[in-house]
Amino acid sequence: MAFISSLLTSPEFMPHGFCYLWDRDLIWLHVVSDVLIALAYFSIPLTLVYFVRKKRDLPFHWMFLMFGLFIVACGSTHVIEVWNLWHADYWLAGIVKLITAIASIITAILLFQLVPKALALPSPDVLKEANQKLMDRTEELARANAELASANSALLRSREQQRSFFDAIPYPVWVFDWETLAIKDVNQSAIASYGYSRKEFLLLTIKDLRPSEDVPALLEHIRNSPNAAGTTGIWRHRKKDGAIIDVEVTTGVVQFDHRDARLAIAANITQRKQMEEALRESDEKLRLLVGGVQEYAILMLDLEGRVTTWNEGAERIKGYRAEEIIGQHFSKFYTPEAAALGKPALELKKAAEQGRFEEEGWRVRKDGSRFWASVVVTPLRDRTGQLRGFAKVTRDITERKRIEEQLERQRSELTRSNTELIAANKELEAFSYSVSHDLRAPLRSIDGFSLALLEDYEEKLDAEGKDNLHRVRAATQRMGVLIDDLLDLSRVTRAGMKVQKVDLSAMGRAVAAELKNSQPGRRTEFHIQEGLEAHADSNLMRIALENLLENAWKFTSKRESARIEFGQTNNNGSRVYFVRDDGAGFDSARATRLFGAFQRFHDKNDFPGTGVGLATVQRIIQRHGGRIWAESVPGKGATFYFTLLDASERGAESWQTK
Amino acid sequence: MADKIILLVEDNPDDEKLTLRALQKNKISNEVVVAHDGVEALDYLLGNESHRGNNLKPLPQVVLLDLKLPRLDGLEVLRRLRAHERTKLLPVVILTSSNEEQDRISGYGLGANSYVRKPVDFNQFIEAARQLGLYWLVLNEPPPPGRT
Repeated sequence: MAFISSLLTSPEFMPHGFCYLWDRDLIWLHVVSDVLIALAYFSIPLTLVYFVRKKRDLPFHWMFLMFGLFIVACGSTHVIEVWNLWHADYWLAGIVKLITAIASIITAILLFQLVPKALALPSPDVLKEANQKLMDRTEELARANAELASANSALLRSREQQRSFFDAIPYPVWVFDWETLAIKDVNQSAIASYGYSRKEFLLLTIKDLRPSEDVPALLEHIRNSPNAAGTTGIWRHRKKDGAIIDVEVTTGVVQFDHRDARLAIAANITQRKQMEEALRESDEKLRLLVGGVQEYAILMLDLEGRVTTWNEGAERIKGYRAEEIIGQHFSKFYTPEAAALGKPALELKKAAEQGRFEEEGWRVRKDGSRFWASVVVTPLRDRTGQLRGFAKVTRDITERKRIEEQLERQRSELTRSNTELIAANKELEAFSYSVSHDLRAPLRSIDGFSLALLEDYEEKLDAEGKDNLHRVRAATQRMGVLIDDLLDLSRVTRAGMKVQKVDLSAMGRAVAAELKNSQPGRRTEFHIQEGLEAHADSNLMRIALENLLENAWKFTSKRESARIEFGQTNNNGSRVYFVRDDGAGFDSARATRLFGAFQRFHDKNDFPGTGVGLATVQRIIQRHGGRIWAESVPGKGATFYFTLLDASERGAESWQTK
Repeated sequence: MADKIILLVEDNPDDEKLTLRALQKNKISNEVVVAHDGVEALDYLLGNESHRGNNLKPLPQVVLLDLKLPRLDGLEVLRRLRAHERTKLLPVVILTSSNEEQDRISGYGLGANSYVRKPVDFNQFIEAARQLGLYWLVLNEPPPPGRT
C-alpha cells in the first residue's frame, strides 16, 4: 500500500507541465491529443471484444484480445501523460508504460508467431471469389438438378406415351430379336388380332405365328434379307385359334435391350386379298367372256383412238391378231374415204359428247375386203367423270344386210304381186259382177222368147221345131246354173272370212233336212255325228257341207234306200271329217281330178251337175288351211275326207300369212 | 186394182217385153209405165228435172227397179227417191239379174222394200211376176197418200 501511495505521492518531482513551462496552448495541445488518443485506444478494444464476441468462428480470437489489452495499455499511458501534466506520478507512469511494454512485446511476439498462420488464412477477396464460385457452382448444381428432375419426369411421360402410341397403332406390331426371333414386345392390336395375351406373345418367336409349312420360307427370307434395312412382304400368319390370315408385314430395324431387333407391322390383308382374288377372278371371267365372244369385235381404245384391247371376235371379224393391232389407230378399220373425211375422230367426239355413238357402215378388214358393220362406241369414264378411253363393239352384219336387202326385194316383189293380185281380184270382182248381171240377161231372153215361140206359135211349129226349142231352153237353163255355180266358186274365193266356233253337226242336220224336203219320197238315211265342231267361217262351211251332202244325195239317188254319213275320225291325232255315202261311187284312180272345176265323172243325164261343186268345196277347205281327198269304189259309194286347221294352229297360220 | 200403176224401170227391151209378157200371163192388167233409164224414172216420179214438183203424175203402187241402168243406175235412183219427201216411203222392188251380195246389201241399205232376182227359166219368171203382182198390188197396203 505504501508503495502505491508512494507512487501517487512523490512530491520531489515536478509535474510535467513545468517542462512545457505551463505554456497553456502547449499543455492543451497535449491534453487534447492524449485524451483523444486514449479515447480512441479505449474504444478500439471495445469494438474488438464486440467483434470477437459476435464472430465466434473468428480464427485466432485470442490475438484480438491481446490487441485489445495492448491498446488499452497504450491508452492508459496517454491518460497518465495527461495526469502527469499536473501531477508528477512518474512511477505510476513508468509502471503503466512497463505493463504496456510487456503487453506490447507479448503481442508482438505472438503476432510474429501468428503471421505464418495468419498468412495461411485466405484473404477476404480470395474468400469472396471462392465464395462466388461456390455460389455459381451451387446454382449450377441446382439447375442441373432441376433439369434432371424434369428430364426424369419427361422421360417417364414419354415412355408412357410411347407405350400408348405403340398400343394405339391400329395394326398389330411387335418387336422381335433378330437372332433368336423371340418376340420382345407387342402392341394391343396384335393381342386383339392374334388372340395371344401379352405374356403368351412374349413366349413366342415369330416362327410360331406362321403355319408350320411356311416356316422354311420365313427362315430363308431372314437369311437372305439385308440386315440393314426394313422389308415388306406378304405372309400367312396363324392366329392362336389356328385361323390363317394373309398379312402384309413391314419390318424396320430397331435396337431392343442393346440387341439387334426388328419392329414388325402386320397389316391383315385377308379381305383385301379376297377382294383382289374376287376382282381378279371377275376380271378373268370378263376377259374370258369378252375375249371369247366370237360374234362381236369388242375392243378398247385410248383417248387418241389407239387400240388397247382386242378379242377373238375382233380377230375373226377384222382379221388382225391382237399383237398386230394393239397400239395402232382404229382408223385402220375405216375405208380410206371415210378416214380421209375424219370420220374416226368425229365418231369418238360424238361418243364422248353424247355418251354413245352408233351407226351402220362399211368397214375394212386386214385383207382390204369390206364388210357392213354395226358399230357402237361408248366413252369410258373413271369415277370422277374423266374420259379414259372408248369401248367399241362391232358386228359384221354383211350377211344380215344381204338378207335384209333380199327380204326387202322380196317384200317389194310381194307388194307388187299383192298389188297385182288386188287388181286381179278387183277385175275378177268386176268380171263376176258383170257376169252376174250381163251374162244372164241374154239367157233370159233366149229362154223367154223360146217359150214365147212355143206358146204363141204352137200350131205353126212341127214336132221337131218344138223339140229344138225345148233343147234351146234346156241349154239356156243349164248355162244359167253353170254361171251361178261359177259365181259361187268365185265368191268363196273372194269372200272375207270370219272364223268362229261352228256347230257342224247342227249345220249338217239343217242341210240334210232341206235335202229330204226337196225329195220327200226318197228313202235315204242321214247319220250325223253329234258334237262336230270346228273353228271356221260359218257361211263358207255351210256352202261346203251343202255341196258335199248334195253330192252324196245326188249319187245315192238311184238307190232304193241309201245311207249318208257325216262324222269325224282321227288321223295321227288330227281331226278328219268325212261325208260318206253308199251311192254310185267313182274310180279312185281319177280321185285327184275330182276337185277341178267342170270335172264330171258321170253322165249329166244320170247325175246332173256342173262339176263346179267339189272345186268350190276344195277352195273352201283350202281357205281354212285344210285338205280334202276322196276314196271310192265304183258302185260301192264314196267317202270325202277333209281337215280344217285347228284353233291352236290357226294362230301360226295367220302369222305365216302376214 | 186397175188404177194402180206399176212403174217398171228397165233399159233392156227384151226384159221389158218379157216382164210385160209375164205380167200379162198372170192377168195383171194394171197400167205399166216403163222408164228406160234412171233419169226417166226420176222425171216420172219427181217431175221433170228442170221443173221438179210440177205437173206431177200419180205415184205408182210399186216400182220395179233394175240395177244396171244407163245415165243413172238403179241404186242411185233409189237413193234419190229415199231422199225426196214425195217418194221416201214409196214401195220399191229391186228386180235384177244379179244376186251379188254387195248389190243386196246396198239395195236394202238404201231402203229397198224387196229384192227379187230374175230367173233364167222363163216359167220361173212368170211365177215370180205372179207372186209380185199378188203381193204388191193386192196384199200390200201402201203408205197413206199425202203423208208421203
